[in-house]
Order: sequence, then C-alpha cells, then structure tokens
Amino acid sequence: MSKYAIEVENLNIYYGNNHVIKGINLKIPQKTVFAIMGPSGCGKSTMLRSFNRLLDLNKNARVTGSVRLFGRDIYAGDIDSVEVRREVGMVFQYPNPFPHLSIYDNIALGLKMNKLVKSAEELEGRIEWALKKAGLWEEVKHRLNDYPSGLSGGQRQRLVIARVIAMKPKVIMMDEPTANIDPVGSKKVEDLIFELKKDYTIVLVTHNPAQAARVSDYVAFIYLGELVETGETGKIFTAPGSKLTEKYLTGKLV
Amino acid sequence: MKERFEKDLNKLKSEVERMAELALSMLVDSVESLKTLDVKMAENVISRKDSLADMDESIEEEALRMVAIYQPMAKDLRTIAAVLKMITYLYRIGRYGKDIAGMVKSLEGKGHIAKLVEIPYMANSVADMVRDAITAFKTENISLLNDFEERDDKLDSIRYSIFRECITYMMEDPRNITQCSYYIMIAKYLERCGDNACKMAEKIHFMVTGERIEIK
Amino acid sequence: MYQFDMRRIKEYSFLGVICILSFLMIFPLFHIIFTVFADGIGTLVSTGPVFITGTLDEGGIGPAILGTIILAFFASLIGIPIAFAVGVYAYEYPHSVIGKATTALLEITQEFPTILVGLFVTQILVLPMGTYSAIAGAFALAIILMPYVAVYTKEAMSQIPFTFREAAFSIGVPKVKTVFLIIAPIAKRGILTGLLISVAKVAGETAPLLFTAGGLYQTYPDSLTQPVGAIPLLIYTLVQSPSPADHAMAWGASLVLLLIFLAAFIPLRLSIKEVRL
Repeated sequence: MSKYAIEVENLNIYYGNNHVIKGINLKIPQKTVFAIMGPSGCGKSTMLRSFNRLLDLNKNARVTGSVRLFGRDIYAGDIDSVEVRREVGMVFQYPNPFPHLSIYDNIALGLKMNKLVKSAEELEGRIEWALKKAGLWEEVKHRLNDYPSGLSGGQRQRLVIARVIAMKPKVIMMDEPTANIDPVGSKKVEDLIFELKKDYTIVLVTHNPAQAARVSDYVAFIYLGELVETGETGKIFTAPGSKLTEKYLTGKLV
Repeated sequence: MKERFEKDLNKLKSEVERMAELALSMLVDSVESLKTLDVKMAENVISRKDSLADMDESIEEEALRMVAIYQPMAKDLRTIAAVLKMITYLYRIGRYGKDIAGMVKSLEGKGHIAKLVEIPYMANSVADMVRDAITAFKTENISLLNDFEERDDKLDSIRYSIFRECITYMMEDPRNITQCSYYIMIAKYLERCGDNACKMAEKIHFMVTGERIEIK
Repeated sequence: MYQFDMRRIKEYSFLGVICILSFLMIFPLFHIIFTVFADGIGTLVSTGPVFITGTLDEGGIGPAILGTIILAFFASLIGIPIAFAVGVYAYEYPHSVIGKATTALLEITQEFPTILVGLFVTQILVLPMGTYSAIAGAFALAIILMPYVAVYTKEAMSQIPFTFREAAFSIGVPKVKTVFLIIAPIAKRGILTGLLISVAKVAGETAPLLFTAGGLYQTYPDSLTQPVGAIPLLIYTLVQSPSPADHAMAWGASLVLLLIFLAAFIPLRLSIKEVRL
C-alpha cells in the first residue's frame, strides 16, 4: 500500500469555462496534518471537494487528472462515490450538524444509512466512542436527545467531527473548520486535530496561515489555482522557497 | 496591522544599526586610544559599556514583544531572529573594545614596540567587516558578504603573524614581554570580533534569502 | 446642535410615516374581521347551534360547512402529493430544462384566473358525468392548490443552506434520502405553512366551484359524485337573494368561515416547531 493517503496528479478543475485548479500535483502522507492554505478564492476549497467527489454535487464542475486514495484512483469508472465519501470524511466551514436531528441521531444517521453497525448496542457503543474521540462526550452525555441548537459553535463543530469519526474514515478533511467559531472553540478544535492525527490523515484547508503553522506537519500554498509550494511546515513558515509564499506569509500579497 | 508591523520593524532595525555604531565605535576608539595610549579616551570607551548593555536588553525586549504581538512569519520572522542574534554578536564586539581599552591603562607609560605590529591594520579590517555586515543588514545587499570567508582567513593569518612576531620580540628581549603578551591577546580579541562579524553575515544571509550558509 | 435636531426630526417623521402606512395596510384587515364579527354574531346567537348543524330549511348551514371540509380535504388529497413532488423536483433540478419550465409554469398557473379552472373542469368532468359533483369541485380546487404548494415547497427548501446537502452527501446519504430525510424536515415549517396558506386559499374560493360543485344546502351530501355545497358558494348565493333574512344568514356564514380559518390556522401555525439552524 502506498505510504501516501492521497496522491494528486495533474489535477485540473473547471467550473464551466473557468479554470479553477491548474495542474496540481500533491502527495499527502498518512497520519499527518496536511494544511492547504491560500487567500480566499484561490480554489483550495474546490480542490478539497475533489478529494471526496463532493464536487459531483456541482453540475458545472469538471475534473481531469487523477486523485488516488491509498493508491486507488477515485475518479476511475468502477469507483462508487458513496464509498469514497465514507472513507474521506468532511468537516465544513459552517458547523452543520443536522438541526432537526438530536445529537444522538446526528451521529446515528450516517451509520444507519451505510449499515455500518449491526445491532442497537453496537450503534450506541459507536456513538459513545465517536463522541469521546471528538472530546464531546463529557459535555453532552446527559443530553444526547437534545437538538444541536443548544450547543456552542465549537461544540457543534466537534459534533460534526464526531459524526465523521463514527464512520471510521481513513482521511478527515476540514474546510476552514474554525472560521465560524469563537477563539475558545477554535482552540479546542485545533487541539482535537492534533489528537486525531494519531489515527487519521487530516487535510486542513485554511486561509489563516497562523493556524496552518500551529497544527500542520506539512503545508501547501495555493495561489490562483496553482500550487506555489509545498513542504514541511517548519521550513515553509521560516524560510519558504518561493518569493510568492514569502510575500503571502509576510502579508505583502494583495 | 501590516503597516504597524513594518513601522515597528524598521524602528527595530535602526535600533540595531545604532547599537552597531556604538559597538563599532568602542572597538575603533579602543584601538585608537591604544595607538596613542590615551587613557582618557580609553576610559570614555569603557564608560560606553552600560549603554551597550542597555541597548542589548531593550532591543531584545522589543523583538520579543513584536514576536508575541505580530506572530511574524517567513522573512519577517527571519529578520527578528537575525536581530536577536546580531545584538549578541554586537555586544561581544563592543565588549572586546572595552577589554582592549582596559589594557591601555596597563600599558600607560610603557610605550609601544615595533609600531604595534599589525594590530591597527587588523583592527581596520575587522571594523570594515562589521561595517559591511551592517550595511548588508540595512540594504539587504548580500553581495557585500561574499568575501567574508577570505577576509576571515586573512584575519587568522594576521593574528598568527602577530603571534610569531611577538614571540620573536619576547625572545630578543624579555622587557618586551608585557607589551607583546598584550598584543597577542588583542590580536586574539580582534580575531574573535572577526568571527562575530562572520556570524552576523551568516544570519543576515539567512534573513535575506532564507538559505543558511556557513562561513568557516 | 442644529444638525442634531434636523436628524431627529427626520427620524421621527420617517417613523410616523411608516406607522401610518402600516396602519393603512392593516386597517382593512381588522375592519373585515370586525364587520364580519359584528354582523354575523347576531345571526349565530339568535339561531343557536342549529345554525352550524341544521340544513338550510332548518335555518342552518351544516351541509355547506361539511361541503367545504369535503372539498378542501379531497383537493388536498389530490393536489398536495403531486404538488409536493413537483416542488421537490423544481428544487432539486432548478437548472434542468424541465426544472426551469416547471418553475415558469408554476408562476403562471399561480396567477391563472380561477374561473377558467372551473370551466376546464366542467369540460372534462361535469359534462361527461352529467352532474355537478364533489369530485369535480375538489378536482378544480386541487388544480388551483397545486402551484401554491409546489412554489412554497420549492422556496422553503431553497432557503436551507447548501452546506446541509454537502454534509449529508459527505456521510454517504444518497440523494433521494438527503431530500426527504434532511432537507424537507429542516424546511418543515416553511413547507407546512405553505400547505396551510394554500388550503386556506382554496377553501375560500367561490368561482371555480360555481360550475363544478354545484351546491347542496337542503340535505347533507351522501356521495362524492353528487353535487356538494360550500360556505363561500352559499354566501354568494345568499347575497344575491333580495331577502334581508338571507343576507343575515350570509353574514353568519361568513363568520363561520372566518372562525374555521382561525381555528385551523392559529393552532397549527403555533404547533409547528421551527427547526433552529
């Protein structure tokens, strides 16, 4: 098996006639936090959505090139996109637990839909496990039947992470997971990311370089749909190889 | 935010330049006072050590404050890191000047032998290196640093020739021992100052390019 | 100081204008409710419970009430499932040719003169069957009901942020289930409110019933294929009569119609819990 969780080769994404992602090559090692950073609108969220075929939702989007998940091309003809999405969990910018379902049901839904558990006990056990792993169990164990509207932004985001973890994915992608939550909640989510990388490969999209610096092991800088530079976080943030990265990190890129 | 940072960073850099001027003046003036055995001037050099220490501390504090407040990255970060290292090197250079000035008092009334051998020449070379390093720091023109390795090698050989020359004088006449042992020590100090200039050059090079070099 | 005062004057006068305009808008509504109550309550009280349960001969409007309920019920039964499906389709495929056509068509039919719908149903049901009937009336109302339900459904679902769709897909929920288990329940309040408004609207319709339901007030209806009455239709008939007693009865019927609306609307509206995002 490939030692990379995700290998991207000559990836191009178009929205209609708009060339959004331009020939990107990327290798994301397993069980690390890989941050993708770049200014807003550089195409990083779009690229992320091509890693779990969530881009299929957008009729105008067209993808060429290959994205290999543990060595398997997810755009090959015989691949079931639902299965890909099960292996690649996703956390969104807006903490989006399903508002009409209880905390418990939010996690149960995906498990039931995909028949990942065989019995009621297993379901219950898996939900508890996921909530514990997401560091939310202690905060919600007495109100599993409450609606998520009673949770804070940070708690909701951790609920979403629990919902993802419960599916036992191999990769967890996060699209600016702290953009809409307060600093305390953000810190908890960041701590959680650090914990989770022991078991999962995490791909983090962020427009906050400081966050990428804090939590990632590797970082890729995307600008105007092109990969400018990728490498170890420590190296990129002290001595980037590209003038463009240098400008971005010192706030000189307008 | 960016503008505020730039303003603070420029101020920090000019503080380093001021500290460099002070350290350099201590080195140059100490050698000058040595030439004429001007004790007053030597004492003046020694008196500057407090403001040197103050600057070292205040610049360090300001640099740390900026790191905490702005969380700089990439070149901004490298610049502040370079500043933090450079003030240490400049402090050392200034202190060597103070040490040389201290010897002027001991040599008072004894006079010099052999026209101070090559010490003034060596001191000039060192001062030039420090000046070039600071200019490079200010203008980011790192081509000024290209020949530092050669210049450092040259300092080494001058120090060695001073050493041999002094040994000869001491063997010729034991009365020369006092002066010559001071000369050997001063040559050693100057060579150390050259090393510090080279370390500064390395940091400046990293600051500007992000690439580490080693000046042997 | 001068500027400050000017600003306050502007602010208050603006507020005043808004208040007056709002009042002008709400006033007719309250006036209608008030008049209906004032003129109708007398008939209702003097006739007593018979007014609700009795036939026209007994001085009551029972058959008309039942007729309205039957018509609304069957119109909903026919119209809502189809309209909901159309609404979901228009939401799901807004850019497809059929989706665009549906949306345009819905907007047109919403504004369609209802009497024409009545005529249409007369052509296809009443004439072949040879009689007015509850079925024909319900069918006409269903046609009027559908575009409203479809548009409200589509709009309510469009309000739901795209991120919930993404979330559902990302945990492997298939498309159809995403719509019915995620989007529709989140949009529940909007959809049900739309249903209520639509049903209320058709329950108050007169024109399409003229040539379809016919009218039946002397006895209670016993078959869906027989003519049936409706409160608005009855009011229309009564008002045309020269007799003041009939007019009084029309007011009473109006009050009943209003009370049915309020009784159905308010508790339902309050009982639907909004899904808090």
